[in-house]
Amino acid sequence: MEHNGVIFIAQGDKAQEMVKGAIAALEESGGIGWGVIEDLPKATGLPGRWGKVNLYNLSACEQTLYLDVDTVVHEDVQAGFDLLDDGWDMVICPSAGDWLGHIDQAERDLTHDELGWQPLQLQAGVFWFRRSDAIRRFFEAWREEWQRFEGEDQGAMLRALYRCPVRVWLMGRPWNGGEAIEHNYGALR
Amino acid sequence: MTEEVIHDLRVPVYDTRVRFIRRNRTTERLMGLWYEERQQGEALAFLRALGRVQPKPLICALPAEWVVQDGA
Repeated sequence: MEHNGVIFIAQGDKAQEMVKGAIAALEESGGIGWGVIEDLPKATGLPGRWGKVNLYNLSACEQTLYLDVDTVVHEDVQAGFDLLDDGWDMVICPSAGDWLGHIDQAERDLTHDELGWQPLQLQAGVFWFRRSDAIRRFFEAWREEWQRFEGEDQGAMLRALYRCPVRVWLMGRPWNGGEAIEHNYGALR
Repeated sequence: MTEEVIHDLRVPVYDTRVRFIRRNRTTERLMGLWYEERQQGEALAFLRALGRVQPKPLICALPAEWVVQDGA
């Protein structure tokens, strides 16, 4: 099993075309191995999300960086893997702006009601994770929570983290939508 | 100095004026390291302490609105 690797999920023709650019940028930024998941058995809901909540089972690496296909890597991504080596379970960027504004109102309300407050929103389009029991339990919970609506994944991620907390290190915006990893949000839609 | 410990400086900086802490061995170590790191400079001391402490603690970062109006 490789120690570090990058994984993309490219469901559908447009995603498979876009991932080519994402891979080219990643290869220019360093020599890390990567994989693309194209065919997902029993895939339902919004394209790509079923794969994302199953990443723990799909990745063949000890430590994985997940990247949306509309990202463009400009720098070496090793810093995130180093943080996992240090003992963090997940490395991810927070999200600013309208809280869960992109997801269905019913799911937004349910998330707020079940958590009892409005936690920090996280960007699920770029994140590093390692294999551990805590992360495995988190992904199981994320999958269960996502299946309640089968829509976007960020509300389900917050509910899953509430149920199964993991050790999270926060990165800044340059790592998702900035100078290190550019993110062309919505380009796939 | 800080970058050596946390690998990349482009990270959110915690506002440590408000914090909820459960007492256990990990958080006691974290508080001890934070005290040590403050001798080297306060601004990024908490990040350095997080970078050094083992095992890593569970942290639930709160939105900025908890300490700053409008999150600005």
